[in-house]
Amino acid sequence: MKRYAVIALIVLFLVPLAQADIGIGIKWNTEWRALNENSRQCITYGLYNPFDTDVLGYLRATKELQPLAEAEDSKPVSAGTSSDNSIPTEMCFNIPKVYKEDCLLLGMLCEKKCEEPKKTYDGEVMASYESVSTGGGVGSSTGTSFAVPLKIEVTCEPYDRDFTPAYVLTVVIIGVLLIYLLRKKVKK
Amino acid sequence: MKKVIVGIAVLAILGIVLASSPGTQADVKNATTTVTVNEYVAIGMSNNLSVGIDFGSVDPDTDDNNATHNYDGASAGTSYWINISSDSNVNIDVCVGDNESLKLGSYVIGNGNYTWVNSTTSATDAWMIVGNSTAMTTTASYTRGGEDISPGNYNYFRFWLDIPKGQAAGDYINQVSFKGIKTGDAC
Repeated sequence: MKRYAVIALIVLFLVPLAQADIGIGIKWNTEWRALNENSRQCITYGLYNPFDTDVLGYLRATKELQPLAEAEDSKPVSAGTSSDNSIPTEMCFNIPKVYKEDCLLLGMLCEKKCEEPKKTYDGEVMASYESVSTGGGVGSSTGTSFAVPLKIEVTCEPYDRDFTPAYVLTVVIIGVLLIYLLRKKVKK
Repeated sequence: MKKVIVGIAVLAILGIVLASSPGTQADVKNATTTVTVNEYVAIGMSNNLSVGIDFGSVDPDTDDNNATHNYDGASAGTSYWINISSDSNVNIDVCVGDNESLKLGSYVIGNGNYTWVNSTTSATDAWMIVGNSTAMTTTASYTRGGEDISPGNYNYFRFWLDIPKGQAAGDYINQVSFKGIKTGDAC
């Protein structure tokens, strides 16, 4: 009787472990990143799968990061992959131009003072895998994912107005004028 | 006079030697300290949860219909669970939400009829009864389920559905998401 009780306890304990679970793992080393405006930059995450079933894993961005993120293709993540052997997967962002530039003439002779408050985008990078649909009847298909927080701060690099093109243009105009006048005088 | 010149010369040489010796200058060297903190977590579902939450064929005007795997685990425990792999190094919370109410074309079974309960203790936790359940919400306002679950542990679930009187017949479907977050983060 005692023996059966012990066996029953062991079975009870092992049941959750014995059934095939399905899921996805994510490894990350940043939750904050300063990125340059007007640029495309990527952050590398690791996907892994310590569970029993092969999955197609993918990353996607949420909240304020969603419009900046590029769509990523899903990739196979084999069952039994440990976090030490996670598969590097890039999440790429297109950072827009956010800080004001003060230009004197048609987008030229510009300066940037970076006096505005720093722009940040708050969101999550979610690791998911392709979901499985339920059969007929009343019910819900299910999916699971893990959300890693990410804050992107857009860096602003100030610069002064560069008059060099204006000086060069002035010199060229004066040169052309001089040549024109000299040629006119020689002809006379 | 000659002695004075020699003395000055000796002092000058001494001064140059002392000035050029490393110990006499304020020589500050900076070293940058760097460290990278890695975090990793894997979240999975039981096989019975991964194939969906099914209520089978149910009649209108019935309450508290059980999802098919609410009690079919060992010792009549649930076989719906979320598994936080032991190959993780952060504690997590689990947030639950659906994409929309159960729908069949324009017919709807509202989220108020769809309830769930969770436990981080065991699949047979006596607390997991319909009387303690909470209504489903959409993913726009996830509801927090299990909290502060450490690696190697589980979050168990049961689900119930009320079918209102006069509900149109057919297959009603939606999608329920289980979202893991670092403990304390917003859902």
